[in-house]
Amino acid sequence: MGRRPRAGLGHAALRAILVKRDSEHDDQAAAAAELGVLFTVVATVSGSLWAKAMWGSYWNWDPRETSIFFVLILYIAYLALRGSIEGDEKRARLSAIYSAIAFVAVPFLMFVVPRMYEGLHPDPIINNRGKVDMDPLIRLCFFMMLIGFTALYFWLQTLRVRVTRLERRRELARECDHGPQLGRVGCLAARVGAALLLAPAGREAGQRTGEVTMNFKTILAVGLGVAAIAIGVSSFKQTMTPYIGFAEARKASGLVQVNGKLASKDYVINKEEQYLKFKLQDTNGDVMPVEYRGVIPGNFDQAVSIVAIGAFKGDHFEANQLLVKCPSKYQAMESETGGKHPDGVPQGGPAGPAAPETTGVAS
Amino acid sequence: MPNSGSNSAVAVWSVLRKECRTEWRTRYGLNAALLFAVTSLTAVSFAAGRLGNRTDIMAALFWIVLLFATLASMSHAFVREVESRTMLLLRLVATPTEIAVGKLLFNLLFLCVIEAVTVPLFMVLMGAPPVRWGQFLAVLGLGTVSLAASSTLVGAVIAQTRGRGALFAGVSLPLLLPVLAAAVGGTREMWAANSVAPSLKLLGAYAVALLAASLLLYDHLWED
Amino acid sequence: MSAASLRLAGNDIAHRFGPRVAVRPVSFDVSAPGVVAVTGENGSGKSTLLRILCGLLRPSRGECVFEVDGCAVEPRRRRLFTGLATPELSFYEEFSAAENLAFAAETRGLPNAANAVRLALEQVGLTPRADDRVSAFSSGMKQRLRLAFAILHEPPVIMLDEPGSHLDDAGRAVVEHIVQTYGPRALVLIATNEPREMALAEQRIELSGRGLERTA
Repeated sequence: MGRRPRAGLGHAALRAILVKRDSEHDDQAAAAAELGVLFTVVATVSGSLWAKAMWGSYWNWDPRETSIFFVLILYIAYLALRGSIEGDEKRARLSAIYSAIAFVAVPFLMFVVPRMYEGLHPDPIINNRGKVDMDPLIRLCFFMMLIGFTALYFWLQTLRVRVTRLERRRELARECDHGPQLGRVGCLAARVGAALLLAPAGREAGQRTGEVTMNFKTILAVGLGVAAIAIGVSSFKQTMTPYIGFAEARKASGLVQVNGKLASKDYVINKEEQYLKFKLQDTNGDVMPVEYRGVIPGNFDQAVSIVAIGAFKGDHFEANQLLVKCPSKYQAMESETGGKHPDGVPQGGPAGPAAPETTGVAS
Repeated sequence: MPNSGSNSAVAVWSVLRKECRTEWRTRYGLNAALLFAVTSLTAVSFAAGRLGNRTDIMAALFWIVLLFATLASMSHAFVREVESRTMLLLRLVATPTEIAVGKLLFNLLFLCVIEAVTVPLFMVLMGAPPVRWGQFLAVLGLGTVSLAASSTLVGAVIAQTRGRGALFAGVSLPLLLPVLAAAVGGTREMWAANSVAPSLKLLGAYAVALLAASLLLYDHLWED
Repeated sequence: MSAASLRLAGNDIAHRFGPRVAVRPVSFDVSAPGVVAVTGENGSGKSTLLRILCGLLRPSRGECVFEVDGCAVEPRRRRLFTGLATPELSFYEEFSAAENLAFAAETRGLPNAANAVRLALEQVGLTPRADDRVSAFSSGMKQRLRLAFAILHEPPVIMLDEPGSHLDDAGRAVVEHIVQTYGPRALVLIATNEPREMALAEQRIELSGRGLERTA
């Protein structure tokens, strides 16, 4: 799953737009947003096809699917906003403001929200253990695609900006043609004027008076921002372990999430009646019976770990959703889940080559 | 005349007072928002019926009603200035930051009034189980701050576009989704008697990040 | 504040809105006290130039110097030293004339807001209608209110854009009275094509590229 939209590349130009008022930077930002939409759509569609092949449905609001969807509507909102502002300078300024505030939302959408909830995606490949957990072949493929698509992005970006620049120039030339009896000299003068306009506007002198308060505000805002990120990261770390032990689950009244592995192989499975009964063991060794009614995850018997969402009823845990995590093809095989061919092609899980999914879901 | 901090506070206070007075005299903003909140609340409770102990669905519905009320009414503060063509007057008497902070405080107040009506009505109509008020108000408060901060900045931007109100919901939504996710999570945990601390932290972090970014951006709102 | 020395200079200022030229390059250098007329055909950019001078608009070319007591004032603080009356200025219709001015005075942080409002209304002859809502005002009365707004905080620069529009003879006398009152202690800029208003000025900034012309 190496498809990651190049979100937010346009934001680099932001400061330049707001402070230096250079239209070139705005062109860059617009091009980045347009390409962002393109790349995000490509990633979403190809990811959706992949999901159909691997999980059996095109779209199931998996957290990471949700977050890329958010990013997509963010881009569309940005472009809609640009489309409804008249005047180059105003458009540049207002859309820069919007992308700056969106820049605040993106980390929350991309990183915090998806990791808050357990989903179908395998563990983040580049994860918080600081380890690239990937099979060598997939790793090669992944990094080649990463480099290739990034290069493609930059090439398209350059092209797009050049087109915009040419369009701008043509607009000015047309202005000269229909302009108020300016003639050739006037046309030349207008072009020179335009060149001056496009150059960064010199800042006016005498800002000393304002600088002190400005600096104070900047420091305050940056300080607040850093604090917010720190809090965000710490809560992000907390939410990395959203599961509670069985003992706690027995006491809780509402819906809870528990995580564990199959305690023994003697589970009851009835595909017709969509009924499943098994024993789950948590990390403390505590064993709890679980009953579940619903679509049985196809890869239940290969599960390395199971997440059950539901409530404790009487003597057992009644799950209304099951998430089954199976050995990932993309992760380097560990010795207990399967071997490896000498040529480096990973083998499937214990059930043989028919083990396709990373994870399966039912509800 | 140096533009000291106390002067700014006076200007912010004055803008806030003017907003309240305008709202009090015309009242169409508040009336429309309350009507909208009550309408969507009625629609939700008719459609969903009494949910009893399905507090997870209740939490989601609660925040959707609040979100809709926000999206329907909050662009108003700046769009009104543009429509009555009083933006120039405002810009001549106060700095962009003073105007925006004044409007932010007004929006906060506005949301609190809407919530004061919506929350009890929701609890009664939906037959919600007892609420742990401390935790609930903390989630509600932080969520409200984020809603107001986002709406103020987006409202100021949107007021200068051709579509004005029309774009507001679409442009705000991506900024409000993290609030929605965390606030719904927090409310659900509150009813499930679990810890709301992670949701509160996320909400708080987002509110602070939004406010910090807004504070930096307000300055650039109206410099033509 | 009105005793402050003030210099306002433009060095090759020009502005465009997209491809449209709003102000052709213009240079001038004026200082308080004095009365300056800004003239030019319709569309030559008189109003745009005033917006640039009071810091609402950043010129796309050239430099604008605004000095108070020898210190340069950055664009966003210029509004503190300027009183602007322009046809684009509207007031809150749900407030009375006095409430509108009181809001302006308080937000600007004037020490004696109520007194400033009373004085300004008196000078434009609106005292009898002070407590009427602006929604009930005629266009001439709104124009008087704009004039009152411009002189409210006794600024060292007063910019009047088409001050005589919508005004009757008594209203025009108000404009003359304001120019004569503030001319000796502040810098008054009048953007106009009216011969009667131009006659009030000692200097003239002619827009269309020729810069400053002395008429006196």
